[in-house]
Amino acid sequence: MRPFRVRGLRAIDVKVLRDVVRMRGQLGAIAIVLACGVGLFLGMRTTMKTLERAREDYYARERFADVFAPLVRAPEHVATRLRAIPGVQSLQTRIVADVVLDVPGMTDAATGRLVSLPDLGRPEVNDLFLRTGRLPAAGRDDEAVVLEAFVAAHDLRLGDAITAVVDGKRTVLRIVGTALSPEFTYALGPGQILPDDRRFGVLWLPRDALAHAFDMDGAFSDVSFRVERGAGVAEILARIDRVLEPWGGRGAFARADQLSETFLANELQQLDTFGTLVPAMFLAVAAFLLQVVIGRIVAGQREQIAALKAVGYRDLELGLHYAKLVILVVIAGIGLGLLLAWWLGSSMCELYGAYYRFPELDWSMPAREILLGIGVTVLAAGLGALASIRAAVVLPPAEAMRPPSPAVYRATILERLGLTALVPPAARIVLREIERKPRRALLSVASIAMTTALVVIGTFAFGSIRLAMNVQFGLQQREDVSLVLAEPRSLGALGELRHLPGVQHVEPFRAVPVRLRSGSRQDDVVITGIPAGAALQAVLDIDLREVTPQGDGIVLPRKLAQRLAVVAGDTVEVEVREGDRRTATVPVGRIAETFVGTSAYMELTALCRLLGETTTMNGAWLLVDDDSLAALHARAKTTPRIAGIAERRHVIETFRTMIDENLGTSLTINLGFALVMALGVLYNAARITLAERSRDLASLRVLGFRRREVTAILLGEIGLLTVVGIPLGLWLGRLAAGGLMDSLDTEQLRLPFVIEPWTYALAASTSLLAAVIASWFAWRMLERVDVIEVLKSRD
Amino acid sequence: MIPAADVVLRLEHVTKTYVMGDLRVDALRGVDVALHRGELLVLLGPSGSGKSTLLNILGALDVPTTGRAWFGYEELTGADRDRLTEFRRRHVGFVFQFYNLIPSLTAKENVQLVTDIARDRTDGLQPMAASEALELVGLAPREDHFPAQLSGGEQQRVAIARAIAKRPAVLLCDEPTGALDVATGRVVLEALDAIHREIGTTTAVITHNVAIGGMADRVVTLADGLVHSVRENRTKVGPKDLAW
Repeated sequence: MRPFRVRGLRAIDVKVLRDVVRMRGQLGAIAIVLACGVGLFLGMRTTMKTLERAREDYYARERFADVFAPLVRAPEHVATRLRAIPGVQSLQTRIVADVVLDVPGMTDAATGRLVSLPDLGRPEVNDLFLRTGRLPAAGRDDEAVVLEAFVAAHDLRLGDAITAVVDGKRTVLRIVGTALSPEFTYALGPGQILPDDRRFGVLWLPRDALAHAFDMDGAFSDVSFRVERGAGVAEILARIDRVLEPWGGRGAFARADQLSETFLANELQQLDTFGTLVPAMFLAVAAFLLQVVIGRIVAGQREQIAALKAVGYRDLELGLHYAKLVILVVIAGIGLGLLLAWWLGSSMCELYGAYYRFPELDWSMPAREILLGIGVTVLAAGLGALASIRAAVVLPPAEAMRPPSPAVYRATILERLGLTALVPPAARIVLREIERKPRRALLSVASIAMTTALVVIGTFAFGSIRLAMNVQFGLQQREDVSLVLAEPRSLGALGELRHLPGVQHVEPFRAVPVRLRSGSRQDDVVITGIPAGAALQAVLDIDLREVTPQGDGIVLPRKLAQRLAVVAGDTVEVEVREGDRRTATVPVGRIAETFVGTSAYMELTALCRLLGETTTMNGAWLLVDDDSLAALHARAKTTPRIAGIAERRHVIETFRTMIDENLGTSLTINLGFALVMALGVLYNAARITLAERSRDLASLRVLGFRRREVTAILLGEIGLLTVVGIPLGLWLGRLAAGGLMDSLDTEQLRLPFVIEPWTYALAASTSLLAAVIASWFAWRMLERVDVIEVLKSRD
Repeated sequence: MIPAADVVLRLEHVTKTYVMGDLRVDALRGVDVALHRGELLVLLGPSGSGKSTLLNILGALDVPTTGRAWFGYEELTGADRDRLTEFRRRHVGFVFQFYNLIPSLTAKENVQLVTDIARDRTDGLQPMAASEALELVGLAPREDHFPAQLSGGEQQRVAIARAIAKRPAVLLCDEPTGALDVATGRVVLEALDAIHREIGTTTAVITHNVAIGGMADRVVTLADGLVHSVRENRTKVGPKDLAW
């Protein structure tokens, strides 16, 4: 080692610096693991905080509603009664309608949600954030403000035109402004489970324009509320429902059930869970490594410690001396960690910003968070290093002048069981070493297990999503195109649909909003009526057996059945939330496993009987010639009775794109972090074994052991730790993944809990790769050991 | 008994018993010994005679099981670890058989290790500069070498420089030539002798080597945990002339 000079430092501090330089590999590895811990902690936490702050500001500034209530049609004077409900602070009545959009340059029809703006002033509730341009001028029925993402996805500009097909009439709207809205932070169109900015857009128009188009003069079809702080929301919801019932109220719901907010809240919840769990794993491993490495340094410097104490260094000074070593590692770790947090936080915010649209999403790392990160890191490092530093402090100076008493070894369990013959000498050395320091070996195994588990919990969701998609869009939904009709029609409409371009096969469906009740539990969902013998739609249970509804029974998805606490054979009360609002008691047929949407299922004619209608439909599934799809879309755009059209292929594509865009990055980051952790553990394990056993290994070489045989002893330990750690990690990963499922399981998208073989393979390979790299380091170090020099030196 | 003014260290009826499981080892069985100001004392004894234990107690590295220990007028018996540390820090210089240099520090830095903490002493004596101490043992030219770059004899001379740099009241040497060959051992003893003559440090050397007794003012022989004999040298022999 070339001496470096540091002026003005006390000699004992020079020793700290030289020790750090000498142990740079091991201490550096710890600093990197610490950096991962603090970087992940701060990166994820600041992302979460940034999103939370952006949400809070955005919701407050744009007066995002606390309560939403869609309905069929109510005269404006009903608003006075709604306003009188205790706890209601303000409300905004609106006209909201979904239409088919014809966008230049796009053959498919897009779904447009038209939302009315008050004729005077801004909305009292659910204001929009105008990004460019202006609001439509009063009295103009050909101007619209359009959702920014939709405009961007189609590369449109202010002044460009979009055609809305309202009741078969093509209305040309000019874009006069682009805007964002807290209602569409996560903008999902009807039937979508991932945002598709090209196929769903929101257009804000003057109320007059919409009132004329939808026959809503002096009436509204949607109302949203701000409630007073501390008001009882459940009571308010019930009162709103009572007021709106005669007007076709579809059930008021609180902000927590608003679609965009549900997704955002769930995302934040996941961020919180992962942002706690994963950094905790890294900090725990770093603490363990500090304990082992500082412990090894202290043990190796017994005589130096004794000499320092003999010449009068105080216990506290000795403790501080080794603490400084730890502090340097912690400083390096925090420094690197802050850089990592900066990179991670800013890129994660950018990524979230692509899915969740806020007016501004300025990632920042406030001093308070940095302090918290430093505090957590210092705590972990302190806990890890404390025992080892204490060992240096309490070492009696006279005791330390004597060499440590020879280590006590015992026959291993295998040998005590009489299996000695099965264990070759090299393996016996490895086993005894591990058995002599079982705690260290155990913690090493635990660290490898955590590494392996980290890969499992970081990647298994992709497998779940893929399986869910395959089942949903391969086995359950088999149509090419689904159509939504503007209003229920008799089955006679099927004939018309059959004559649409390229249609080979048509099956009708009827979707009805209902409230299901069982005892005191209730939930608002949609029942989809499927015709008996349907070929284009199958409902499956958890074992992928077909449980398509028959007779009068209702088939409930598992999650809904759990919420209502019913099983097959029970009954539920169905309250229809449209038309004449019948109620009926219906037997629960089977329990289905559906991944997308929240629908319950009934046989079509049974559902219509319940509604008191002759058999009707308000949508259809179609099989269509690939060549005719464009023509079909073109027709749909001009057919008044078609309110929406969706291609199954597009949904699958959106998912594929989402997975392709994120899987690579996610894997790289996950595997990278896991590899760092595993390497930190195994590299240190090898270094320590080498330091403690170089004399023994050198002796074996002198006794005639081959280089390869000696290497086997050193690598045997790494190998054994890895081989035990990996299966344990796979099991731990499965356990943790099961726990995390809850946070991934949302109302709109439920994921099956599966861990695909490739996830396990990937996790195991990552730890194995780390073992191979660490072994290579160990082998290189062993090659450099000078046998004679080691034997000459006093242990 | 009040110790006389010229006694630096004094042990009175000191015993030391180690208990290891069922085994009791009486290392010291009632030792009285005094170290006089300015003298060079050799504690002679075969291995197992208790001389290392005695040195550890003289240097406050260890405490007696029974008996009393004095430093000047100050009684050390019953002092806690911290007071013993302070005593060593201010008044005692140690030279160990295996040098116990810090391998990551140069010769000069090893000496500074001690002078760094000797500045806060109460008796007003200032420690030497590290180079001055190394000069005294003839190692000034090698002050920037690390222990691994020095021979055993040189390392032991660095250890001596480290021990005397703070101008200790007493210098305790534990088998200072034990790990060295005859010629090198002689150089180390010469360094000790020179320092004793030049700055008059009260020095105790423990050794199993009878010949080294020739350079002492007094020789105390230990056997089996007891003082066997005390002999004053009328004529001291220089280290050069010691017959090994």
